[in-house]
Amino acid sequence: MDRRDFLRQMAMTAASAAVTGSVEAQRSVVPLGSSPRDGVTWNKAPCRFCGTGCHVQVGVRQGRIVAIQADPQAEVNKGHLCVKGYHVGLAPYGPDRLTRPLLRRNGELVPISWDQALDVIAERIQRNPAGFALYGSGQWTIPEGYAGTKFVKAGLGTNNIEANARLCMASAVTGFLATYGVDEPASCFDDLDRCDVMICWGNNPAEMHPVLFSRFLDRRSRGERTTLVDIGTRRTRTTGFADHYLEFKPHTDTAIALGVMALLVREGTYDRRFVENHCAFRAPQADSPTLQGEAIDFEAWKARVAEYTPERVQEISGVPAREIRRLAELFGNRDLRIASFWCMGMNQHTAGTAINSLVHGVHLLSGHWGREGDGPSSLTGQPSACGTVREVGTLVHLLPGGTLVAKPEHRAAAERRWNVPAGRISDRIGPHTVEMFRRFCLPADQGGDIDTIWVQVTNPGQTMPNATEYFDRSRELEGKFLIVSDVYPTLTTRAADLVLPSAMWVEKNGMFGNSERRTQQWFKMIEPPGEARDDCWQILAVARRLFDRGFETMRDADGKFLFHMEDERGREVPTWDFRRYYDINVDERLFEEYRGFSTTKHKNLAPYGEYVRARGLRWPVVETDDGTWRETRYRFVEGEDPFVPQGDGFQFYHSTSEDDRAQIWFHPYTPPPEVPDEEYPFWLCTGRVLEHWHSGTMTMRIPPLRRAMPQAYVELHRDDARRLGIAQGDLVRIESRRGHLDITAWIDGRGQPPRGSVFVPFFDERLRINLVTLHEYDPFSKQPDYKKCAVRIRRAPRGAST
Amino acid sequence: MPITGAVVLLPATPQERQAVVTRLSRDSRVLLGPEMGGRLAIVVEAPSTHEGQELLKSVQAMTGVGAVLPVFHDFSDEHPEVEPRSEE
Ligand code: SF4
Repeated sequence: MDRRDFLRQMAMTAASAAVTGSVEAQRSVVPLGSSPRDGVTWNKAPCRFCGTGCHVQVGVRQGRIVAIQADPQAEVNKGHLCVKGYHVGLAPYGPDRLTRPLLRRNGELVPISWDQALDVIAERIQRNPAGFALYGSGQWTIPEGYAGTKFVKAGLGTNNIEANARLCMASAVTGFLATYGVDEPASCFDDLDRCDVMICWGNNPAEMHPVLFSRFLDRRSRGERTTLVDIGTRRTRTTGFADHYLEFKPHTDTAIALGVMALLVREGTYDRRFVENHCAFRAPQADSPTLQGEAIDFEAWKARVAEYTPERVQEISGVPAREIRRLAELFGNRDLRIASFWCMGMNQHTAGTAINSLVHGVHLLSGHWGREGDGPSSLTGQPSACGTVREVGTLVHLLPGGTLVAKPEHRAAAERRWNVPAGRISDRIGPHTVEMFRRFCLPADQGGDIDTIWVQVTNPGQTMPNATEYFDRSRELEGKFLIVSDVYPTLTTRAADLVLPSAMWVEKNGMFGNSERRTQQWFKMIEPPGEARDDCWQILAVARRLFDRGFETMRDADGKFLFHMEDERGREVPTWDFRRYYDINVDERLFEEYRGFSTTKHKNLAPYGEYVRARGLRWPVVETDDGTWRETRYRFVEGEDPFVPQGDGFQFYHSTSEDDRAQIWFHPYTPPPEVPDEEYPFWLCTGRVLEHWHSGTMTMRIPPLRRAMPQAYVELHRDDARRLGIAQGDLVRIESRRGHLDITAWIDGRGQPPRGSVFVPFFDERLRINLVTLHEYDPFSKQPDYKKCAVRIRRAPRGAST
Repeated sequence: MPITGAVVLLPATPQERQAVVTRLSRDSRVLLGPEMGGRLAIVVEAPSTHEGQELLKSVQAMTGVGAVLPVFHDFSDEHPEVEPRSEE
């Protein structure tokens, strides 16, 4: 058998294992760590891209990734990948990797040494620690995010750390907090294998979470009867598989949820027992509403939702009253198992907290909650939006493990754990992302008190809404300094004052946490190019540089370096020296420290070694009597969640009403901040595409993906196109009150927006749609609304180009 | 020549299912594997990743096909092309 025969056989074995699911076939797929005849070494890692967290086996030969295989033993993807995951092995090999630190001098980015770069950062921080902010992402690994949080909160004594998950997941967080008193889904992806009805609330999993969607579709191929309900503002690939499509006017999804609740009550089909035993009712206060709201009784709640009759909902949302009734009938049927999923459509929404809370409420009220296949779940776009941003707490108001800056006892506990003097952690919550960039874009004497932002693993130059005012403006101001760590040139690195080259994915050790509370681990497999270095090392090195320069708060209470680490013999390891960084497993040290925080909010994590062995474990993970570690599929459910006592059935043990009940909310329908009018008569929605991952930094450098979707476009309805004299492929000008963009028209394309509505994906840096979008945000989550603003459309003026 | 292993989620109706299997069996770039529970294992050997991907896309577009899910990709023979996007 020659090498090709061998590879062919491996490919067939992997495909057969995924088809038959047989243990024998799975075993015969190449085992980890082996070096078969062609000299390839295999190791496991989660995919670099989305929040599904598929596991891949990465084949490395002579220091280079040469093959990718879906991991047949991974519960998440069961041996499958999507087109992005299948090409993930090419992500590190774009031709223009950043390989040296670059400093802007006389307008040009010129190479400097790491030593000089560290000095530049340390000087900026020392000059004005309160004006410094760290801005990361849901692509930070867990140890990176933890190091960043400790650096800012314990080392600088501020809370100026944010992450781009504010832009994609914050309303899901506030929805969970408002409903259950604690963040993250109670259920998990297993719902996809068991639900009778899958409801997509404003998301498009066929493109954005294809492996999860295929878990559901797979059941149809096997002949199982399932129902798919797609609730959206434009037809997508998901709609093509739907049994029912409910198209609503942008922003009116709250009315749909209220309409379903009103019918469940009116028809008496809600789950009276579940509600009486496990639920309480809330509404926002009339004045200065808070996330906690005010308690109301069932009768008062009922009276408020009763206004949302099917006819009224039809009037508000455009969804026919009969469809609202049909949806309510599904929820009124306790014999069905109903799983709801959502993502950015519900989160990037100025009423994001409201719609998240209401969808939880529909499930709680109808008792479609807590059984396998029967519950609500939010999905994430980034691989560690949950594991890093939400669990580690890389946001201005959070401390690790879901604890809060606002609670003195949580600050004190963090100070003890970090061994820093009492009072080190500031009680002043810093500016959230939009506010942080607003202040960065204002002169100091006009409230612009943020003067330095260090961006890691994200691309705000492309992704901030209303980008002229919330990003570009800073580049015109004296005294504002932008530091960017990244792997490739981006709009953000090109605007930066200092660029730091980073290692990516399997060029470093890492841990991610996916959308179903699954924590995953991998080891470094290849070397980063040139002088590219781990983001975590960069944080430790800056912290050490400050320590060496006498910055007092980089010391703990014993005078030691805040990130002091020792080897097995008790000798300090100079992890700030990159040559020594891998002398010990820094990830393991940081994770073990972080793990201590995880018990306060019952997000218990296992020791690092358990994650080395497993294809991820869903928290809370607790040790059993026989010394093994057990994960949790369903939280708050007896028999599943180790913290629910026997006999209780369900227990919402972080209940905001402190009586173990979940909250069913009333939020009224409220209109959006900007609606189409005579001047700007179209809705604009932005989003993603199957082939590209977020701002396209990696996937636009993977030739097959780039060829499959080479540039962004505007989708518009054929009637609108005809009326405006726009033909397929014409250059179109999209203009809002904030900016404009010239972009190619795609009529009857992959997605089909209704009349009066257009869609533009945001992956293409050459076609920056965020010059047009709106910066308005949800009052509770502070997450901006990228899904709707008012624009006008016309053929682009002569001479315009993309 | 890259080698790809994939799983096709076949259509639910027998006629559509047969159409997909027939189409794949006639393509010399495709090796058919086991079929079970509406899922078919295939191996694709095309001259380039691009051509292999186009083939998978065309299968995905066939009536009733739920998804085409790649499971294995060896690209050791193919070097990523140089396509710096910043210059466009
Ligand atoms: S991009 Fe997401 S769905 Fe696709 S393989 Fe990676 S983790 Fe899985």
